[in-house]
This record gives sequence, C-alpha cells and structure tokens, in this order.
Amino acid sequence: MTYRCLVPVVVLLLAAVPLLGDTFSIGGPRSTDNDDSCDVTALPAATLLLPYFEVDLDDFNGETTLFTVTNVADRAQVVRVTLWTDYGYPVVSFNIYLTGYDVQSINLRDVIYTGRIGGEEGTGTSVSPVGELSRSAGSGRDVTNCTDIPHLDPAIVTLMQHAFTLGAYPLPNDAACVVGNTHTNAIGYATMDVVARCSDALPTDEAYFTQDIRYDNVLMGEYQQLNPANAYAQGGTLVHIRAIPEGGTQQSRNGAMSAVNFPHTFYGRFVSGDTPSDARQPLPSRYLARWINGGAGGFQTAFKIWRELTGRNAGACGIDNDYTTVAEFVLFDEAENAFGQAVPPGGDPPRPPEAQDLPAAALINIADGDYFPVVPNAARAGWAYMNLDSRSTTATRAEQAWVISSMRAEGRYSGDFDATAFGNGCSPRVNESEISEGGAGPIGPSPNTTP
Amino acid sequence: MKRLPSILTLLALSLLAVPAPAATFGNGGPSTTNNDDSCDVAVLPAATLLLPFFQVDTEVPATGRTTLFTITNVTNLDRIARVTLWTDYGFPVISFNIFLTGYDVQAINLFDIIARGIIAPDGGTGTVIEDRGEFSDVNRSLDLSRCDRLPGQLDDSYINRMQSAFLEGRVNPIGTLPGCANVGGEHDFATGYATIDVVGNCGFLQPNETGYWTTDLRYDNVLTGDYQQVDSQQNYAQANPLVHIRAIPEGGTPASRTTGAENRTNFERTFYANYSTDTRSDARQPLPSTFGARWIQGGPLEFETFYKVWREVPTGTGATCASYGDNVMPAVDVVVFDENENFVARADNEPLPLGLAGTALLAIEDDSLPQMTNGALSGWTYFNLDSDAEDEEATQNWVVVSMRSQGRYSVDFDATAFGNGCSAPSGVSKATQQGGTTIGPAPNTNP
Repeated sequence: MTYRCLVPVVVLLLAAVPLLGDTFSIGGPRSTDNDDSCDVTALPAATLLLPYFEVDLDDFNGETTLFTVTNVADRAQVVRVTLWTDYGYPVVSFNIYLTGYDVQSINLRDVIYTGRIGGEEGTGTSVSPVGELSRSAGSGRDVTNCTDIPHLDPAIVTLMQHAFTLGAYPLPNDAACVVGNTHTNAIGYATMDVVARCSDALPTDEAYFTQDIRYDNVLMGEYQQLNPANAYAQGGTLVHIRAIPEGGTQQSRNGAMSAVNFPHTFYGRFVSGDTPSDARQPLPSRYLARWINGGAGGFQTAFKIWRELTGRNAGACGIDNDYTTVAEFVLFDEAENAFGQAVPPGGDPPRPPEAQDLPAAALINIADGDYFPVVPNAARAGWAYMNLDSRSTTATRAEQAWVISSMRAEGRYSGDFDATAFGNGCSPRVNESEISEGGAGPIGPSPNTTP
Repeated sequence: MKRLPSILTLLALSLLAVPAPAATFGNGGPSTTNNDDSCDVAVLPAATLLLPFFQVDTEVPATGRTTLFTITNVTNLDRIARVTLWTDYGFPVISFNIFLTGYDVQAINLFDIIARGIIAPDGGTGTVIEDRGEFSDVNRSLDLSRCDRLPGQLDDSYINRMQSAFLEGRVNPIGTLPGCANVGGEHDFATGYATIDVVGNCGFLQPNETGYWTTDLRYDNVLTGDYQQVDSQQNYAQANPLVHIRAIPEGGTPASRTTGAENRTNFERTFYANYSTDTRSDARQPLPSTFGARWIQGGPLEFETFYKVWREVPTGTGATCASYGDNVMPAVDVVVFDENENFVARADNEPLPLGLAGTALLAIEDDSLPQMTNGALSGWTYFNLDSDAEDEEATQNWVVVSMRSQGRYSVDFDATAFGNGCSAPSGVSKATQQGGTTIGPAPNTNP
C-alpha cells in the first residue's frame, strides 16, 4: 500500500480534531468532506494541467513559459511531466523527483531548446536536497531509476522542436506525421502526474495507467508566461485536478470504497475498459470570460483554450481529428446585446470547414472573426460565452475544456485569470442557446439539485 | 428571433439538456458529483463575490494605483448586487446597489467611488437607466421599487466618510450610520476589501444589520467577477477572479427557506457566520484557513513577492466601535520553505509576531514573517491563518500571491488551499512546535 504517506496521515488524523466534513442525505451541500466533489479548484492535486505554453526558440530573451511544481506533503514524490502538441500529441515525458516539501521550477525554453530539466544539476534522489521535515517516498513507489534523472538527449530535443513548431514528428523511417500546427514559436500544453516510478511511459501507453499512475493529491503549481519584448508577464495557477477517491495503487484500488463515481475522468479517453481508473476529476465544457478590446487603452483580449479531443487515442501517427468543432461561441457587449453564430453545426449551408474548430491548445483573440461572432456596434467590452463541447454525435458526454482570459493594454499591462465555468465536469452537456441560429433556451449556469 | 418568456425558456433548457448524470453515492468517491453541492470554493457562478484586498491612490487621478472589478450576471433574469466596502479592520463603511439586467456586466473603478463618489459612470444604474438586451428578462421575484435610478453620484459627506475610513481608520457619523475612530489602520492609499451579494431589493442595509439577513439577502448563484489592480506609475497590472462563494442550497428567500428539510444548510458555519442571524442562514460556503503560496525574492530579476491576505474578523452584527481594534489577530502558524526544503518558523512556544486584520498586503520580507537567513531566493510559504489553535473551528481566510519583477512584470494568482472551509483546524505544525502536526493537505475520507 502506499500512498501519500500513510504514517503522517495517521499522525495528522490523531493530532487534529476529528474531521468536520460529512455527507448528508438532504439539504445542501450533500458533502462537506475535503476531496469529495467534481469541482475543480486550487487544492492539492494528483494532476496539474498547463493549458497552453508558448516559447520563442530563436531569441533567448524572447517569449517563454515557466511553471513550478511543489510537493506539499512530507513524503517524496515522482512527477511525470508530459509535453503535448497543440493537436494533443504527446511528444515527450520526463520525470521530476521531489523530496518532501520540494519545489521545482521549469523554464520550458530550457527543456525544448536545450533539453535541460530543472537546474544545472538536474533532479533525482542523488541530487535533490532533503530537508529536515522531508521523508522518503512511501510504499508503492519505486525510485530505483530516479537516482540521477538525466537531461534530455539531443535527438529528443530536435524531435520536440520539430513537433512544437513544425507540427512534424518523425517516424522511424524518417517519414513525418502531422502532429501539430505550424508556429513560429513552440506551442502546446503540459500535464504533470503523480507517478510511482521514473520511466518514460506516456499517458498514451497502457502501462501508464496500469503501473505508473498514483492517486495522491499532493501537488500544487503555477505558471508564468513572459514576453520581454512586449514587457508583459501573465501568471496563474495551473489547473489542479484531484484524484478521487485518493490514494492506493491500481492493485489496491479494488474495493467498493475505491469506486470512482465520476461519469468520466480527465484521462478517460486514454484508459482502457469502462472503469475510469485514473480517477481524475473531469473538467467542465462551458465557460464565461470577460473581454475588452480597443479603446484608448489599446486593450486586447485573447483566450488560452485547452480542449479534450475525444475521438483519438493518439497512436503513432493517428491524428485524425486535429481540430474539432466548437458547439457555440456567443459574445455579449456591456449593453447586453448578444451576437451568436449565424450557422449552427450541421446547418445548411454548413459552416466553413475550419471555422470555429479548435485544436487541443490555442490562443484565440476575441477579434478573430474566424472563431468569434463579429460585434457590429463598435462595443469595446463585454463577455464571451463558450460551449466548447464538440456536440459530437459519437460522444455520449460533454467534452472537457479549460479557458484562461488573457488581457493586455498599452504595451505594459497584462493579466491572466481563469474563466468562470458554468458547471462542473460532471454537469450534463448543453445544446446551442437561443442566441445562435437554430438553438433554443437561455444561457445560464448548469442545473443543480437544490430547491 | 422571437424570444420565449423566461420561465418557458428555463423549461426549454431543462428539456433540451440531457438529464443531469450527477448524483450522490454511498461508496467510493466523490460522494456527490452534483453541481453546487460541495464545500470547495471554485470559479463557478456564485451568490457572493469577495474582493480580498483593494488599494486606491485617492490623490493622483488616472495615473496612480487603483483597483477595478467587474460583476457579471450570467443569467437572463434581472439581479441586484449589493456592494459593501469594508475597512482593513472589517468595518462596513458603505453599501450600494448595482442593478444588472440579464447578462449585464458592470465595471467598477474604486478610484471613481472613493475619490470622486461616482458609482458606475456615467449615468449610474437602475431600471430606468439600464439597457435591456433582447435576451434579458424581467425578474418578478425582485422588489424593484427603489431601483429605478440608483445614485450615480454620492454626496460629499459619503466621500469624506470613505476617505477617512480607508486612509485614516476613522469615520464620522452620517445619518443613521454611527461614527467611530477605530475602524481601520492608517495608510498612504485607501485600503480595504469588498463583498458583493445577490439581494432582493435596492435598500441600503449593510451586512452588520439584521434586516440584511432577514429580508434582503438572496441565494442565487448567478454572479461572476474579476479584478484588476493597476499601478500606472510602476507599470504593473495584476488580475485575478474574485473569490466566488456559492450559496448552497441555492434559491429562495430568507422567509421561504425557514421551512423544509431540503433548504437546510449543511455547513457547520458559513462565510457570514458572524453576521447572519443564526450563523448559517446566509448559506454561503466558508473559506479555508491553510494555504501554500509560492515566493521569489531578489536575484538578478529583482523579484518581489507579496501576499494579499483576507481574514475573517470576529466583529459581527452589533459590534461596538471599540471592538474593531481587536480585529488585528495572530495567526497560528507560518512556515517559510526554500527550494532546498530548508524551512524557518517561529521558535517553539514563541508567539508569531504576525498580526493581521481583515485584509493586508504582506511582503515576504516583512519582519512579522519568519525570514530565511541562507540567501535563498525562492520557495513557498505555508500559512495556517486560523487565529486560535485551541478552539474547535478554524477562522476563514483567503490568500492571493502577488509577484513583481523589474518594474514591468507583475502577476496575481490564488494561493493553493490545503483543504476546504469545512476542514478541521490543523493546529501548530511540527516545523514550529515539537510534537506538532505534519504540514500537508487536510485529511479526507478516502481510503
């Protein structure tokens, strides 16, 4: 058994007053327990998601994205970082060894440009300092291959650079798959999972979920996106995705108490069988995000959007739905004028092939008429409603997404903040609203069971 | 497109949507997958929004520092939001209403309010002023009798009251509002925090008045919002969502929620427990008490880290003037880690000098925090901001990490809570006290 640390948890339970949380059959909420809901928020988690990164590989002083992972518990942990293309192709995984209460900063330019992970000395059991309050990795962990985690091989560095900028990933015969869009800067997203050992298995490998994954909600993290040329920095918390129920290994999680009650999970598309064995909270699909554009301050608003692409299991070259349709974008101005889509999915005539279709990670400007409805009245501000479910007829649930509002002004101000979700990841999918042609019903929060 | 009446459209939505798969469970986890059914505070539509800290330069128009926030009504029905501005000691200085039609958004610059007395320029808000969008519907459950033209310009007496309160910590009596010379600290810039509640009328009761809870308050999770703190002279802007605090269970009025088991609030205590009539009638989620927050300080990039800290104060309904000074409270525990897992904490049995009231901007270099002496440039801070380690309930708090660098980079982001507001108190850690608790996430009921 394992887990985050059985002994300290027992100590904590003995030392602290009894749990205040509880479950209830009536009234609300039904549960006040910690780690007992489908709501995603900044609480220690088993998976962290960086929804969007961008790195200028040509200019050492150019744009880059940094993130930090912190182990908030006393037991050592292994974290598997996976970098994905904007089409959702997992290019590389590497491990970070965190002693108890350890924190590791990663500059993605270091990783993608030079292959360097962590500081110059790298990371690993023989490298990482051990604090007075830090304890060894618990049972259920195998850190024998974590002694001195090497920097990435130059060949892998070349692969990453091709994948994140050219969207090309070489096969053994030197043929190239299209695994991403073409960008001047390296663009993609990253996931960080608590795992049991240091291996190079990817989330698309079966062993990842049968052997490697662990379920301890012990990580926290944040990101900064820096653009020295434009003198702006944006920052926010990473998306904290908890494993519920927490703890154990794949083998030990076989009783009724280990049942995962989510209708689907964050990694559900990669987990074989009907059981969502990753146990990660699913993300919502509908969001509200503020926008300001133009005016005396030269405001610009873009959205960093992460999307689940459910139709693919990311085989060697299996990119067959690099973009998928977005159910609905609606723009409101500050006078409550609403602008929806003129042509609904499946409409006649159909939408242009790529209009309002988005990949797995994208930065979309509010003024980009290929995606958002055009506001014809010169309004400068309002809010955007985004239903990022693809409404795929082959999917039985709403597809997951995450949205960050990213604002800039006057060439010196900039800020990122999470958009407001309209329900949790367990909420039902919602059709197009009355505001878009062919839709029906008002826009609003997902229903709940309270009176 | 012709619109349906609001009730019909709501019915249509419920029919169009796939039936909710959410449910509750006797085994496994989570116990509930329902929307709005937990103690976890997340960025979801809420009945109360909290701006944990504001700072406004009242002397330098347009070029000084100010805090702006935005409120959005995410539903098609009219809503009224009651904004209350509090001093850093938790004294409610002024409340005013914002009328929001369906899908309306209202930006507020606190410089406009505190320095100029202007709410929602240029014309204010109100039922006769607001545009009504094609998809916005009348909310017949609201008492709109005093909402036709909400004041856009406050009297000078109110402006003086706000400025003396937020800058000097004192207020003069005005109308039925009492005076007090002890309501906040002294600051170079107007400092405090703000709450925004869904209410049912356009009255002017404040959260420390009984009628606020027995007649005014509503329970609809329909608001969202964000803030920006701008300092033009130092070229920085910081932005973040407001704290979204949901009412659970949702809906109804104070009167309609007094009966029926389904209206029962299962929180042990609530966000407004010190104010609401039976300590839980506001039904707002409580906030947590323990947090992990990153810091970077110094180095070639001249990093600076501050924490914007909001704390629950004990003064509630009926508090006396003299009691506001007692709102500067200790914190149970603060431990500062560097990136090599070295830590500093207060010496065993010595009191932590950290004393914070309702809100504060705290520098990582502040002497009241334990200080690294090894030259470390970064790490993270463990905050247990409960004010009393001996009682059975942790006081509520919120922490925002605020970083700056090189006079041009700046970001705000929420610290990571180590449990929800229903988690048990953590006690003093063993980093601080021999035999103390292990620093880590709050326990849960999982296997």
